[in-house]
Amino acid sequence: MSTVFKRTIPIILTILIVLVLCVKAFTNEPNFTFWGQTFQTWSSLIVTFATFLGPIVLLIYHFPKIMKKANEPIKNQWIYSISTVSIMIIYIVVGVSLGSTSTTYQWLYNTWYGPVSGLLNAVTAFFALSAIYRSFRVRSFESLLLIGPALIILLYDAPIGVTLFPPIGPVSEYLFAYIGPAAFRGFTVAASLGSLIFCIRTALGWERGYLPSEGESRGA
Amino acid sequence: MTIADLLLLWVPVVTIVIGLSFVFKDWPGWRWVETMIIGGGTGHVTVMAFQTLRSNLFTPLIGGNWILFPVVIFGVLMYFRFAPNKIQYFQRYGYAWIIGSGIGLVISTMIQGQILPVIKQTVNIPGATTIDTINNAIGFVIFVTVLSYFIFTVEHKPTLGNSGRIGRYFLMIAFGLGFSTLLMTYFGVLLERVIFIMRNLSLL
Amino acid sequence: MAETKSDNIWERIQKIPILPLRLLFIALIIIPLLFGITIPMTPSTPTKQYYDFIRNMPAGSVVLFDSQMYGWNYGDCAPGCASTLNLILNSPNNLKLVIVFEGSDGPMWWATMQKDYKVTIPQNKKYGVDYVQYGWYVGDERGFAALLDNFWGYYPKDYFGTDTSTIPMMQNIHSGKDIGVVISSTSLSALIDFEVRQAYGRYGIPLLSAPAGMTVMSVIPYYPYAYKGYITGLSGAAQLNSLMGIGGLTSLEGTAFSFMTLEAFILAILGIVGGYMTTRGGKKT
Repeated sequence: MSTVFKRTIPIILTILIVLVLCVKAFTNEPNFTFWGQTFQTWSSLIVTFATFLGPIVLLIYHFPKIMKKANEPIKNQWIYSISTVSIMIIYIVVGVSLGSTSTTYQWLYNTWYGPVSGLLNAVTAFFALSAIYRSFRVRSFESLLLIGPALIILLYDAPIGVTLFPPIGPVSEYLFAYIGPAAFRGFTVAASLGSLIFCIRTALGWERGYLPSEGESRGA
Repeated sequence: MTIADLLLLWVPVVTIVIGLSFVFKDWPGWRWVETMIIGGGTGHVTVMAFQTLRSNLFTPLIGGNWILFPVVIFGVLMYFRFAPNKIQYFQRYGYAWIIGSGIGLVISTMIQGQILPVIKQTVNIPGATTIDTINNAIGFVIFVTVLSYFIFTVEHKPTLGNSGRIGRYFLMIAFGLGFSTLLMTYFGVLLERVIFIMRNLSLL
Repeated sequence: MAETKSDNIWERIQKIPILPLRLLFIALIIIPLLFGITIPMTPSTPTKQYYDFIRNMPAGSVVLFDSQMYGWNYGDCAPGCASTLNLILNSPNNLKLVIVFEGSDGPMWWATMQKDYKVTIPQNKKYGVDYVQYGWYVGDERGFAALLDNFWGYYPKDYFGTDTSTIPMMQNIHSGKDIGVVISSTSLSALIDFEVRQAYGRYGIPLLSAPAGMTVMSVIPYYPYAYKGYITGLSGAAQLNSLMGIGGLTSLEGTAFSFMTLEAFILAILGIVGGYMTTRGGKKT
């Protein structure tokens, strides 16, 4: 009986949802259209519900570190934990009570989080530059195939490159218009077929990896 | 200028400069900026999710649109991951919705939306001019060789092996293009942060 | 690594510390911006197609602009959003613009983008009549599919809390059948795929894209049959601006960007040639 509740019912539910959405896509039958649209709306709102797992898991991770004044994984971790949790709580309290369109919340966003939210990518630019300088080495035909087009497009992106080496323009356009799309079409079809087969297997109940196991870590 | 305006002007400049200093050294200032990113990001997403639920779920529900009630049930069930082991499996009912809807949308639209049009475009070799026809034929050859590289159920003996190898070469050219376009994103983001600092310092 | 007595020029180049190169990188960003240097950009074919498609749409067509802007892609996506917004709002064919956001941060960065790039709404364009802004559609493909099926049902109110039923331009927009084109601005490859599946696959809606550089490789397989044109990141936006005959911050950014990529190119060449010269004859770096 417990297997029915733990495994069978979730799988039957998955299959039912898939069937309704598939039939809705291929027929104009009003009931399936109505329930298909309803299921779509329900699932997007259920995903929204899942968003609150983020702050809960964050609290479960950081609170013990604050209580124990932990110095792991880095020295003075508990101070950083206090900072993380307090910033999160301030945002939630202000945002929920005043709304995201309020002046106070906009100020909070534009002062504390917005400007730094893209820093990881910005910092990566520096590391990409040193990677280009230190690791771009052509040691084989295959590495030439990888690095050559990259260099051509790098030069094409700088308009002065096209001025200095005019053939770069048509070569780059040809790469982007014919070679790149054709190769990526093959890649896309192969990847799409693979994911389609995986989806069908999941819909038939043969793939159950998406069902969380019992006793799975609760976020700590 | 009020204190709020001054903070709005200077705090981002200081935090961005501290963040960019990570390139030179990992130090406590960068760690503190990291906490801002993580705490602020989590808080913001929570606020936006709450607002979305309030306007799209709770307000219509209170207004009498009871068809949305199952969303509350299945949404709450997802939080059974924090429950004792014996009843933890109820979270699967919520996940079934997320996975089932994703799969349903993919299965029902992938073939006619993604796969068939791509194949149709590729096998349409005759073009308006001779050059177009030649280019389309080259594209077709590239497509077939790249596809043959991904055939894993048959041994890559001479014909398939050579075809797969040529396909791999074209894939490497394409990934080389992808690498330089990836650099564009990183450079663009860094450029914009520097412009932000210059603007706040009235240099721009 | 200790220098040997006979370090040649290539070995010395390989040993240049990275710090001065990074500082030079920053200087190459600052100098063109400080001195207002602009280099003319030649629009590429997909950029021209992007421009022509928007300009040639039937009068009164509905444009659904799907923006996925976060802090980590703002620098690459915002210029394209600003240029496209300018193009649509100033287009003589009186297009109707509906703005939705795939990401939670989108509405905040949209406001920032309009301020940073000085996007001015023409005086003859009114909110609710010519353009309308909605909020974040959650659930990625699920949300997008739901809003294409029943726009009013998914968005009962706009971002500012106004009932959709009272917005004049929304009276004729109920589902994907009423949409003329979907324009996406994103750094998320999955968004490209699900727009092709849902908008093009189910409703046959043509697509345009202003993706970040890292996402353009996801767009090109569907070009030109689903995606009728695209502008790639910052350089694409600068090209679009040159087509429209306007300058501004995007053009300055395009110049600074081109200097950055030029330095990266030169360093790559030095690295490759230097690596080859130092390993020639069995000597290792």
